[in-house]
Amino acid sequence: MIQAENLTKQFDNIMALDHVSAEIKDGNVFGLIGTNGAGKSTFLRLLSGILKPDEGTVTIDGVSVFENENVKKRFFYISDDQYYFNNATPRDMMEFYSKVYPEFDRRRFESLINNFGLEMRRKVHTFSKGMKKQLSVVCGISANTDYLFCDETFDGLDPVMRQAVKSIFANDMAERNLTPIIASHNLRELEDICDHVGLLHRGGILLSKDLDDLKLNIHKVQCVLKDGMTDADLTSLDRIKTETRGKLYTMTVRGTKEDVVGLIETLQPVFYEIIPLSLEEIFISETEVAGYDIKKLIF
Amino acid sequence: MTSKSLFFNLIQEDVKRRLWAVTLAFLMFFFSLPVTMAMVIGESFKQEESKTFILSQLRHLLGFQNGWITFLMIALSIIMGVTSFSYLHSRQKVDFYHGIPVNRNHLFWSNYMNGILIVAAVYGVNLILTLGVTTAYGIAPEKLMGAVVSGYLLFLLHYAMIYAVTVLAMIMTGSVIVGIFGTAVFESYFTILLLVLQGCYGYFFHTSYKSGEELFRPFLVKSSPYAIFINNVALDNGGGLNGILVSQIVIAAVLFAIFTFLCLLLFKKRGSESAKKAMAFKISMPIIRIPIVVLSSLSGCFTFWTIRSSVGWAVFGLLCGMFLSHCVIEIIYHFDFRKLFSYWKQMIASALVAAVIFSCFQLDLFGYDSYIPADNNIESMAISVTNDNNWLSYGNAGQNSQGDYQWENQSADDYIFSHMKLSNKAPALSMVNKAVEKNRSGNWDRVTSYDLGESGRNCDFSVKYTLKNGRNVYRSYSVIDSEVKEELTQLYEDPDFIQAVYPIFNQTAENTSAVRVSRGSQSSTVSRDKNGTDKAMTEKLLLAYQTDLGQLKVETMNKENPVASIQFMTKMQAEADSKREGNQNSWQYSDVTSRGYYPIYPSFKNTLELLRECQLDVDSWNSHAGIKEISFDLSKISEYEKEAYDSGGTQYFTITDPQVIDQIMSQAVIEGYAGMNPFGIWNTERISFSAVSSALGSSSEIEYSVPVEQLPASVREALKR
Repeated sequence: MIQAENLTKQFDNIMALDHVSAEIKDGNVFGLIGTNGAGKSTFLRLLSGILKPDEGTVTIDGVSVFENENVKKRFFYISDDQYYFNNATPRDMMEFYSKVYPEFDRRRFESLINNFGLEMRRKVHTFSKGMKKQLSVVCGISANTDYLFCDETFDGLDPVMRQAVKSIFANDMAERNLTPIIASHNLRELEDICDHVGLLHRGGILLSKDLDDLKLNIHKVQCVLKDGMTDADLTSLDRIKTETRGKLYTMTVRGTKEDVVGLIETLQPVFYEIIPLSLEEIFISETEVAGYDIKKLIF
Repeated sequence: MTSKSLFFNLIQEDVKRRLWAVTLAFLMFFFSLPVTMAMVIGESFKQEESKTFILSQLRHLLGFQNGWITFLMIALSIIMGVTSFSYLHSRQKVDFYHGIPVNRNHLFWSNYMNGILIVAAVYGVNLILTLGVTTAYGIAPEKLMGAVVSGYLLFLLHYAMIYAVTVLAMIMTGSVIVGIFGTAVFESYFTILLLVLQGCYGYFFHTSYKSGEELFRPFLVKSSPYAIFINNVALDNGGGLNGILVSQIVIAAVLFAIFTFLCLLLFKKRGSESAKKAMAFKISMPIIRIPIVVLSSLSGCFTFWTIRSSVGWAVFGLLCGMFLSHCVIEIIYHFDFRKLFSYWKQMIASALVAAVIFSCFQLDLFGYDSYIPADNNIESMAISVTNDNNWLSYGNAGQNSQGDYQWENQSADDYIFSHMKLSNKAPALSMVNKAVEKNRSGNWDRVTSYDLGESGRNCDFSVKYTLKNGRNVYRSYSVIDSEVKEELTQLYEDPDFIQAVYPIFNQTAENTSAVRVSRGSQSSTVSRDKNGTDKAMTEKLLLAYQTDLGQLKVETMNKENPVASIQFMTKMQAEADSKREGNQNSWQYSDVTSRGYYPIYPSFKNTLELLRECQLDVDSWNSHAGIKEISFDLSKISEYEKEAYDSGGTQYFTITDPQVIDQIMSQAVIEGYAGMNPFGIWNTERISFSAVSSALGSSSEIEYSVPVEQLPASVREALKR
């Protein structure tokens, strides 16, 4: 299990992460979502021991990550802009990684390279952006580590390849309990694969919950109230956001479906409907509460 | 075990990634060693050089004296230093290297050591190839092995030292260009600072010690790792490890260890987020900027003062230096032109420091020029009258490991100051007081000794005070010669003074192998220590000469001039002389064998008596009877006289009238010895001529000079035409 406690990192005058704590359980897919500049990449770089936190600790099974070769052997970090040696081929990268990752699976590497339609002897600098991403995933999977840190890894992959990577992740999770930690803007992609979500905003963590819990505890409610009733009559609901269009109220409400239905029915509305929220909608709602209002960005 | 194999794996991978650097290094060494050596040996064989000479050349090229290899090492230290740690300047690469399961210790040592090992391997391979080349030419490798091994080890040690500086600069910065700038700062800051301070010292302090560069030299040669490297190469004259070189090598080794430690420390402290920033450590920004701005402001101020000598221009120079350096550094630090005036208060403070340093020199705030130690504070005192020593050779004949003889020069001041302790300091202090008084009166301009005015020539002298607290104080002064005539007379009759000025007083019979007497272009060996047979005469001559010179009075020097010169050859000189006789490169030895001649005055009775015993016709030296004609070379006379010659007149003006000849010769002195008499005619305007004498059917010619004012009026007139 990876545990980040009170992680703080400042770059000059910019507070990139401010006392962030998170717990990543083994065998889950941890999705790290956040606004631009929220600190997702910084969080991953801290987890992988590239950066040293100003405050706080990162441990894997209770052992500190920073400058610990044995712990670092347990994860592979795929950067958002992965580095390959000058003039290197996939084979060269395989040779290198097999020297630093003791469990590196060369046969799997070769097999995945073939499956992905890449060439072992072709120079990486001639690869397209997507092919480089594929190669980074192949390297990461073949390293056979317990954890895989992916920073915007799905960006640049075509839909088929995204699906293939997800399948590989799912397979490895099942076979060897791989734990992928994926930072991404693409919430639709994460929604399919993540078990647990951490939402970062302006250097702080807004929430860290299982995706199912998250979805079960937030709902969109559309209702038309009886004549004479107003917004003030809805105070019993834990509303995050309310929009009114004529008599139609559209609200984002916290609480389980049963609780929300119960509260709504006590109001005896003319009409009501409970709609499940997508991860993207949850993201917008939560960040809006934290002051990241889409309307303010547009207007 | 895993760590060890990981370390070597990392080294192997690093070599793969730096193959271009390996290839470049190999080519540089390949053309500098085996190829050059093949050409040198081939050419030497073609020129039919002796085997000893070829061996000497090869040892020089393969040993620690090869200047080209020094340059190569400096270039490679930058290339390797930059390539070893340039990854720190790219976020992409930092994420890659710091994300893999290798701790920073391993990462540091593999990159760091590889920068050294690559050069060591490439240099070593090329040395082996070179030995192969020499073997092919029939030169056994074991004859060169000493130079090869010592050169290899010493060059690598010094390479490692300067490489560590480049690495340090790369670790402290976040961009390759800034890293290279950083290396330049580390390697040149103290050297430039010392040079500027030396410039100010020599320019503003009118009594600054004329050999002042000697005062700064010990610091200059240690002012940067490059300076230490170059100085150490210069120190190794092929004579093997001497005490100074060994201590310098130890310094290089210690510096290497210190720089390596600093590199490791800073590497571990360096945050991965520093990539792409100019400076990796914020704290180092003012530490580097402020000294540079101070130096730049001071340099600007001093440069404009030397050009225009006005306060306005000095302030302009100060401001230029301040703005340029501060603004450029700030722009580099922030990669933002608009940040050029950041920390402007520090900029002004730096310029103020520079202004204070400049004022200390220009206004002589500490009274440097007027300083004379109190008599009761002086433990001992020495004085060196600069323009009287020019003809003397200070130093020793020596031999390097290649068997070459060479003159190991010592400055006159160094010799005199190390041998003189005046028991009577009064004349020297009186000269100092007069010089300081002259300076106080505002006549600051130092007149060269050749500037002759109505009041006569200038007397330049340097003094060394050894104070009772153990401190040595050096000053140089300049006064009009006629103003210190009395003091000079006292000095030249003080045994403490002359025994320190003339090295002959410290020469012993044991170290004297031959005696040679020279007059004009003729010279003869009057005594040579062959199997000890002439030893007695050599000893007697040395003793007699030391007695005569010791008893030489100023009054005599005012009346007489040297008529011949005598050389007491040391054993080393005699060895060089004997080698010269049978050697086609004899010219190489003349610098050694021609040194150490002393004047023989007509009043040197003891010496002349012994020379007479040696069958020398010393009595003819004072007679002008044999001189049949004297001729003045008009082309050597002043311009207006030369015009007549250029316009078709004759080149020589010849006199054959015995009376006129006698009149001129009575005032003349052999040209080569004119400078040997500190009280002679050399301080007056004089003219040279050649005197032709004939005896027994053969004629000889000697170059003389005579004061112009002593020439008969008719001759002066004739020369003017």
